[in-house]
Amino acid sequence: MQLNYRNAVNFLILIISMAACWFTANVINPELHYYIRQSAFLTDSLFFQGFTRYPGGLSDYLSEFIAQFFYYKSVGSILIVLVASLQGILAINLIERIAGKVKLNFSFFALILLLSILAQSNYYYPFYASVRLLITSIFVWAFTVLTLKFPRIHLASGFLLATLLFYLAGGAALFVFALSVILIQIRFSKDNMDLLILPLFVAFAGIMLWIAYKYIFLVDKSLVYSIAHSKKPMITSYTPVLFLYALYSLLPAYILIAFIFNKFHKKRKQIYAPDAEKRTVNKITKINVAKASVKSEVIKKTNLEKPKLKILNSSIFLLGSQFAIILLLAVLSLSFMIDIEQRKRLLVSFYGANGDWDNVVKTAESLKEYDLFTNVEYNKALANTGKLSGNLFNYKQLAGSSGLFLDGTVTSDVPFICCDQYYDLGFIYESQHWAFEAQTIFPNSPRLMKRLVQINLVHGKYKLAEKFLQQLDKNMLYHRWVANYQKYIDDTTLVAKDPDFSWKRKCEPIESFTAKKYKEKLSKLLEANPSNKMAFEYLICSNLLDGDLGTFESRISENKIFPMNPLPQCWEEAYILYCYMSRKSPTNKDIKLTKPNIERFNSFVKAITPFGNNWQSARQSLQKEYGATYWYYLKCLSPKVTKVQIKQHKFDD
Amino acid sequence: MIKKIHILTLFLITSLAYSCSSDLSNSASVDHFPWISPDYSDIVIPPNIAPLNFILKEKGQEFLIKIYTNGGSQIIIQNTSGIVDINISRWHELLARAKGKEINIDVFVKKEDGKWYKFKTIVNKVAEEDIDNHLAYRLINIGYVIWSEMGIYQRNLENFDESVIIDNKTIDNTCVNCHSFAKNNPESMMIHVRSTHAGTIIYTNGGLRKINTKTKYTLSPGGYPSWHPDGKHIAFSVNTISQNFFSKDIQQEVSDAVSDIIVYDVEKNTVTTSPLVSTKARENLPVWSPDGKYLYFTSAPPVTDYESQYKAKYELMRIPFDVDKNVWGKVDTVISTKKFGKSITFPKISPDGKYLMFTASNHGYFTIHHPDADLYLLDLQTGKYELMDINSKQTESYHCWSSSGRWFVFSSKRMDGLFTRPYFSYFDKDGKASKPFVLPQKDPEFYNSFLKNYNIPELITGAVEASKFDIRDLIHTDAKPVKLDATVDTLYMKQHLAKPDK
Repeated sequence: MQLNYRNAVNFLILIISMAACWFTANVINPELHYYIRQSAFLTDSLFFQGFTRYPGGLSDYLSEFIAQFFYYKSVGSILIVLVASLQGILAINLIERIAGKVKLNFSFFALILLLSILAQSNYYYPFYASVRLLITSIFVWAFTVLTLKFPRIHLASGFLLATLLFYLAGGAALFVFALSVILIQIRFSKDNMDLLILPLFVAFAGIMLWIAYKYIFLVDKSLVYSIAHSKKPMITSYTPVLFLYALYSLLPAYILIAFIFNKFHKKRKQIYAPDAEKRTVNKITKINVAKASVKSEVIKKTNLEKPKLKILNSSIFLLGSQFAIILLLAVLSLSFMIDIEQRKRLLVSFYGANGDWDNVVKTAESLKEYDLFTNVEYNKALANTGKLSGNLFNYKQLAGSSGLFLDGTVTSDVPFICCDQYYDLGFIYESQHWAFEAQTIFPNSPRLMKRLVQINLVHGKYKLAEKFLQQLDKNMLYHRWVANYQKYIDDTTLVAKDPDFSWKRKCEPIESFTAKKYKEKLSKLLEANPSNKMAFEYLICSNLLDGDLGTFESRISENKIFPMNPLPQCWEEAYILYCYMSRKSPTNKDIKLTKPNIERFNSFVKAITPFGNNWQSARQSLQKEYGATYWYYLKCLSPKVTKVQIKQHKFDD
Repeated sequence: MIKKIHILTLFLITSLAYSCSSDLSNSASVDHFPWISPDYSDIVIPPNIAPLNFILKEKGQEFLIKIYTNGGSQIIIQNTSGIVDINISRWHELLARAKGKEINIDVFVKKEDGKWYKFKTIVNKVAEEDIDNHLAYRLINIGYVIWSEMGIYQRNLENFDESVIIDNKTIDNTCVNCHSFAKNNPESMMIHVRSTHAGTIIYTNGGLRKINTKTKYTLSPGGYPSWHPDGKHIAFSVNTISQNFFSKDIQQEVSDAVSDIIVYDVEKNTVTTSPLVSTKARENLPVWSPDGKYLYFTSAPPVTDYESQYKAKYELMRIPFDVDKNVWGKVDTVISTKKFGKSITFPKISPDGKYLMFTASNHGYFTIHHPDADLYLLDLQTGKYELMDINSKQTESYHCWSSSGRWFVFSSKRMDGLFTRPYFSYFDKDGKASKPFVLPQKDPEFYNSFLKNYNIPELITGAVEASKFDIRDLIHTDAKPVKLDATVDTLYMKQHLAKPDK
């Protein structure tokens, strides 16, 4: 029976672990964690040294090592679940050592797993918090084993383990450990003398934190006391939430439950206790080992004689209840915690960073709420696929021309996107400028190292390109990329032969200039290379989004890059509007406006007439039919009409 | 037993030396110097510097390097990596014997044909005079507007020990900068803290305090500092700084809309200024003469338009100032821009008062991003100045004299054009500087992977003894406001600050 019940529990644990893996891989997606944190694990000693200088640093080092594999979502999800599962298994083992079988193993395991996954549902969650907790669990487990096996030295070992743990995993870990040790000590105390040591232990832990902060480690207070210490830069900031505190409280809470359980079920405990523990427990409770063995045999026999069916039913009922409750909790909490919209916004950014333009467009269009960063990424994706002039208004351009570039206010969340955007445009110096801004936040980011390699190859600064390539090569996952680009260093003539690099070399503005507005930068790019189609498209779109149809018309008419006939959809719509408002025909004879679009415009004019200037009413009525047209944008969505202040990103400060 | 071990060791070393020398005696000569990185050839070495570890960039299967003095002891390193990691105690023994003489480096390379090749001997001189044994600097990423991690560190130049003075991770990632010392003395130090926890940390007479140097009648908190030789006064510029970004090699241009000069009295906690150094023009980067009688500074015309702000040329000025009596003299022009044609920044006077080293660039004063920035030397006795031989095609910018005046350190981007590294040079009695060499590191390939800049290298005569924990804790406290000296013409200053162009 015991075997069957245990098998059932193990089976369920396996099932929920697999489910957690699936969920983590497909819903949470560790790739997004990797993307947000720009994880870099370098194999050099300098990198390692940085982690040795503060309490918890070595756990962080380990966590960086593990987190680099979040690059692969399947491996990442397995690792996330594995770290949580190890905690669960340790907790189960710990409780069994303290209280014997409590038949709540499944719940103990599942709760840890659930809270770990919940913590991971926040993409700014630092994974080191989980690793630190795992190390804490190992230490608590080790202390318990030492207590049972070597009762004479266990207190000394407690002090030693506390000190070591504090250095390995930080103050929060020490707090959890101290609490657990106190409970374990109370549980196994032989006499009151054992309890007297506890205040000393509490004082020791408290003083250790204070001394460490004041005299040993030159760190911020939060680095000593908090679960998560990433306050700045804002883009990676994380504030511990209730779930994380709950996760950190689980281990002492389990021990407390086991302790209480033990108090009320002493007999059962005696029956279960494995040999080694049984001896110790019996010693502690001063029960003769031999007597206990005999007694346990008697009780076992008695147990066997109990009606099997009754026990089976009650066990299955208990397990089933646990499963049902956990399932309910999981469904409720996960559905509450997972912010699908936020995930989609992140996905847009992630796809954008990886040049997966189709998915950028698809995901952005599926978003319910407007987001400025998504808007910029969406436009970037269109620009990279040559569809900016055709599909611009498939996304609500609520920010107007501010939705094209973000290089206004410099905050920690804009450098990467600006860096990529200007690189795509061929403005390599500007891209480099943003790359270095980003590097202050993510000094070893592989994404950044790659970009700096490319930038320096375009600039012909091969020594610098090699430097960044060498830095990137210290990451385990980028050797292939490095080998691929090393050939440009080994034979620098290959750079000019590379179509992308050679094109970018033709795009760089020649003269030195300073420009605060992106439009000036685009104009300079076009001066340097009039065939820079992307720069031209962006410039035209900025005119459209500003409602500056006069400039738009003259630029279009004089352009030599795009064919005049047919014009891209958005341009033609704007041109029709221009002709309508100015009562002029196209100045350039090559421009031919198509009949369906003219007719559609006429019907739009008729449709808006009843609304007068009430754009709020017009917006809803016309959206279905004309939502993706320039006319609709100009009359219903443009910030000049709506006067809407676009909500700044949460990290702007 | 110990004696036996010693004999055995001696025997092994002798055998090794013999076996090597027997192989090397037939080595072929190569008619050029070996390629070593960093370049530690043809330089003057401080007799107390840490081992100049380097890596051989020559191709070969095996390498043997002999470092020796003529008629003295030698260090032999033989390996297949080409990395020359010199034993620190043996290196110092060698330097002690070579003081005032030369040390030679013989490089032998065993090539694929199995033969040993000997390159031309590298000859370096060892100076008689020690270099100040510590270097203080800020380590910072390249970023221009955004910053995250930075710190002020000190490096023991006699070995490879680096310790932290203040790390901004401990103070909410706020900006720390402009560390400065009185006459290279680590016991008189100041550090600015910007943004969160703003203030200026002053360390004198073993005590730390935090002050706020901004007053109602001065432009801003103290900026670029210079300690008076008495260790009781600090001259500061006060600046309204902005940044522009450019599309080419000078990516960032830091410029001032307005700037003046103030003097802070450390003991009285007062600030003074004068209409003579708080004019419409942009007075900046003050520096005291070693006798403490003159305040040298740079000055640029007032801003009239956007371009005049960052394209301005600064000239070199000086004004007598009696710190005890708080009396200002008349402003003199030392180097005129019209004559020189370049913009002057970071004037620094040698401790003997004979020379003034400065950085010159085509425009502006924040020259770390200017590839055209070079070091110049002004002979204060003759008034003649010239471009120094130590310059490279890349940026040379901030610099600092040693307490003896025989050494100086300067920032240079010569290694790769991007990252700033500290270089040292010997300055002889005739005013000639030796070929510079980079700050030695334990790992000779350190600079290939180190992605931070060494900012404001300052030579100091010992380690800063102020507790890093005390500095951290002090930064978390409120700054004590300074008082305006009663002699300051507040009416003038009020009008001066109220003007639209100020």
